[in-house]
Amino acid sequence: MTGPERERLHSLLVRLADGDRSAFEPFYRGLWPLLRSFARRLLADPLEAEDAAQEALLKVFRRASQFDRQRDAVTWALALTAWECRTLRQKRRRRREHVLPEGAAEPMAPGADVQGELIERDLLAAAEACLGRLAAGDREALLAMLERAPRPAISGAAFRKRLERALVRLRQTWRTRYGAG
Amino acid sequence: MVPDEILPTRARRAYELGRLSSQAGALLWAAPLAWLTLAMGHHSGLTWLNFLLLETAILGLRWRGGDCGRAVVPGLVGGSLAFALPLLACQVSLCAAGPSPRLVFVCVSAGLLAGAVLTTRALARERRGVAFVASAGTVAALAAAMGCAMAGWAGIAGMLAGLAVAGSPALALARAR
Repeated sequence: MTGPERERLHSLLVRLADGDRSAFEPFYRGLWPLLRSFARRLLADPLEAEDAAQEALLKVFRRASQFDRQRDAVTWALALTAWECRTLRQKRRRRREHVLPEGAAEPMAPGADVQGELIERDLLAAAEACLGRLAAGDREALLAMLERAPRPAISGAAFRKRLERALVRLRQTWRTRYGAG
Repeated sequence: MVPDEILPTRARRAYELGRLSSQAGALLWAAPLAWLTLAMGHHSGLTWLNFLLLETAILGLRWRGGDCGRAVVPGLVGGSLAFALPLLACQVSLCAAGPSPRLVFVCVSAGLLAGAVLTTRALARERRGVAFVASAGTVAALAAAMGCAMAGWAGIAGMLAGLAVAGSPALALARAR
């Protein structure tokens, strides 16, 4: 943006702040492409950049009457745009955190088999639910088998017997909850 | 995301609403007049009608901006002096409230005073046009009318006559520019 162009936008905004409506159209035409291209440089997603730029534009006009003539109009408008871009980025980040419940698996890698991943997640959730209904000793044995918990301090034979009984109960629990399996 | 075709309309609406809300504080400027009116006890339905019209004019002119917006303060200054004159006259027992000839005469003087203030301000600022004088005159008339309402419609008419006489040089000057 050249110096004269910058000064022209500044004087248009000062006139708009004073209530001169004839400055609206030229100011809008000069400002909108500037905010749009600035937002595109800050945000990778073009749709998000468009959203942020539009919000910033509306904010500029909403606050035009309170514009401080001592400030530079272009710097002020770009600062509002940067703020909108930052706010949008934070909102998207918070929404992603909210959608994934606590303890959920990480997002899938790109190119992964989506259906397969979802089935696996469902099975794991079902298995965890069944495990939760077992006695503490059975749970301990099964987790030790899966190497997710330390092996109880009992002999090998005793551990095998406990594991056998735990698996039988797990199967029974599964059948009760989910039918044949 | 708003389509590009309607974005200018949305921007214009944001500007006008932002302008209106930013000027809403100007409504407080006429509050002392209302307070004094209540304190002095000389008020009627006509007084409050004038107050409502005054507040509407202040907000409308400030929203409009430019010379119209800048005229509000000078108008209030002239109008406040004219507003105070009939109230003071009654306070010092120069005249009683009501459409008496004496009070109407005081209201005419109040109008002359407001007009003189406007002319002085118009002379001091060379670039002020008809819009400025007309806006300031409207605000001054409505503010002064709050006090002159004590004398009824005759008081208001007298005030307006005085304002027109003393304010006409300001209007002539503005037209000549």
